[in-house]
Amino acid sequence: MMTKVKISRFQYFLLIPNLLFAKAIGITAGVTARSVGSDAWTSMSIGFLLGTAIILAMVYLHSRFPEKTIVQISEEVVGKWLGKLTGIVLALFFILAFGASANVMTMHLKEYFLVETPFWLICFVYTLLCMYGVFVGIENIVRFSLFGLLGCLLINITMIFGTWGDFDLINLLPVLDRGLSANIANSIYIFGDLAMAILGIGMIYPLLNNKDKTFVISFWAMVLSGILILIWPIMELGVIGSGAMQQYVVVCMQQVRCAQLTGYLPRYELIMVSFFTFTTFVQSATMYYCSVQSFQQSSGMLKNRQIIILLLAIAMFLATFLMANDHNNYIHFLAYPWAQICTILSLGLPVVLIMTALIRGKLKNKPTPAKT
Amino acid sequence: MKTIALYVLLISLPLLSGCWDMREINELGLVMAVGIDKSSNNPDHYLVTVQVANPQAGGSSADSSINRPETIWISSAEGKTIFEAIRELARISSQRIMWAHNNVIVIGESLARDDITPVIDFFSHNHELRMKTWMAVAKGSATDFLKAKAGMGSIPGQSLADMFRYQQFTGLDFHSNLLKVYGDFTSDTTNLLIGSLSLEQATTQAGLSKVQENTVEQIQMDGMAVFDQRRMLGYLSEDETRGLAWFLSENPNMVISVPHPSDSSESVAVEIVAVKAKIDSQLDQQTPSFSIQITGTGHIAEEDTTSDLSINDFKHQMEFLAEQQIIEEIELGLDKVLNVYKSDVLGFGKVVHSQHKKEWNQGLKDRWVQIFPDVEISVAADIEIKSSTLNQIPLRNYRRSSVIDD
Repeated sequence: MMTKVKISRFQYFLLIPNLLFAKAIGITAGVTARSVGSDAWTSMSIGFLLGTAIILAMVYLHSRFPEKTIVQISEEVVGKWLGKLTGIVLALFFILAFGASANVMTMHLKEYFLVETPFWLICFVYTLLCMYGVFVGIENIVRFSLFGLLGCLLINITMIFGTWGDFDLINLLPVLDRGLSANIANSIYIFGDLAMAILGIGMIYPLLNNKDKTFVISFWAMVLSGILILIWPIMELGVIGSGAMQQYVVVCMQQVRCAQLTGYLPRYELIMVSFFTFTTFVQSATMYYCSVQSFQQSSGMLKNRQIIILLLAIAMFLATFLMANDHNNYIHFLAYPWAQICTILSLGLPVVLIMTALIRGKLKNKPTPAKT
Repeated sequence: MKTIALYVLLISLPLLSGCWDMREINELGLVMAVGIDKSSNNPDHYLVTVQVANPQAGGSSADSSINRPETIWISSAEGKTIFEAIRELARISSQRIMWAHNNVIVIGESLARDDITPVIDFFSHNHELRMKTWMAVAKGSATDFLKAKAGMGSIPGQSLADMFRYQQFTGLDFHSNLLKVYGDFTSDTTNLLIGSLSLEQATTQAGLSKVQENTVEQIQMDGMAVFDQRRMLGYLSEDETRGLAWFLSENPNMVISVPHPSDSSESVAVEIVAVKAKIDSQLDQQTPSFSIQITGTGHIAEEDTTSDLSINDFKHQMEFLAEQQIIEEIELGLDKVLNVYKSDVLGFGKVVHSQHKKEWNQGLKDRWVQIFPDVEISVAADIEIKSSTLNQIPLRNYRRSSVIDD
């Protein structure tokens, strides 16, 4: 799809941590801890290494089809109808991914700050906000990535300073307590987050105004994301312990409840959540945008974009509300089947497309990257 | 379309005001401390006592103390659950109870001996409460402690929190806050150790102009309460608690008194700082043993008699005596935990797990409760005395000695 909207490589670099951060630091960490206890940090690290390899594979695929989205690449590689089916599946995936991401914010608000406000209203307002973001365009959403990343840095710094005094290394030991195979098997939970970045890149990549060195940029973006995110399960385990981590829905919120900077700043979770809002917004709104793009490209409805955005808002709201109206069901859903769906899609789609393209000889000629 | 989106956002503005969760500060009753007991009327019920700050008492200092209202409002209510009892408080409270500023949770002894689970569960569920809220077991009824005086402040709950904060100087508490207690409660090996409080008669004087003295009950820190999973087993004395503080407390800064090398009837006070504890476990035929190594720096803070010792001799002798004293204190605490309570409040199971994961997962974990009381523990201390605090040489009496060394 040719589009006038372009994003810079720096914005692309900033976007990747924002697509990963919000859900991974608390909710995914809790889900993983419930499966592997104190191995949560090693299991998530293994998942991150696998995810980095898949993201690089996705970038490689795009380097051969630089102006096409993953939906358009699918149509070219596996045929029109299979490609359209992939597009519909991705559109549905992004709707659910929006729900999973949006509920990170709604959970924080509902469980800790706006406990008496009806849950539907929080979902409704948040969906409206993201819908407005999609209306004004992906470029504007991506611009928030800078604020999102600064927020991630600030929340990490304030969390580490506030909880360092309670950190106990023994809570992280022994390393790989459940064994390497259990750690690898349970690393699928982080794919609930990685899939948003892998498949999100599949839709965003053609918007890059300069596609030089995207391999290196993506790699370093993943390194930065890994540092920003993995510090959370490490600190959560060290401070509140795996037993307590397993108890809570939103573990990162529990972690920030423990943060205290001297006697003068005994609690500042609201400040930390305010740092967290930009990155969550970028993640949710990007999922919304990707769903709109997937739907448009697979259905061929390239006109009436605004109507599609409005119609999808209903789907987004319902996905968010129904997914987490019962908080426990939301967490169950993330553990099963969402983690499995994300792993299959984000691992399977790039690998299948690369293999098929290779067999069909579509990877032979490297196109000249277009610069805008 | 952008205009429509703008209208939608404008319409949503009233929805964003958060009316459902609006709380005006003048309508809130800020809880400073809470006490939980078993009800004396019905053993299946809980008695919740709250100490709520009264902002109206913070008026001008020129106000007559007779006319000034009390700084705190204390009230109790009963319920089948703690939450129900707290809701019952609304029947007598003119302000909405808010927990965000609560400093201390005091648990009555009878409840602690029965089961501490409801207390930990309720307060860890409460989104308003800080996880760094202090927890304590009262030697008696928690209600009595909430009515008693604590420290020098006008709000006992706040003063009590300050007392907890300074216990690194006495070694009478190892930061028994909700965060640590909850972590140990959900741990698969470590049992709870929570600070305990007692009441003592104290004489207070209202001011220099007032000669009339009052005797009131004042709260004091009094060792720690030992638990076995959910139930309190008993208490550690102050000395036993101090013994465990050497390796369980974070950054302990304690003073020990040892006999003076020149005159054993007199004492020398040594302040021990920068204490580091290293706990290692060894496995011999599936039987674990432990070694505790304490290192620290000492400063001689007080000598109760004079001597002619050189500074180096004095330091060397003091180092040896301080090390012996620390080892004795630790062994006193260990003896009570291992031989009387037989409860792993020391986190030794965690140490074995982290250092011998294969053996731990192959059955040691399941037998840990039986194994723990019989484990061998060796204790060693290495104290380096670096200064005699301002003095260059030990205190001299120059009428008795004229020798001055370097």
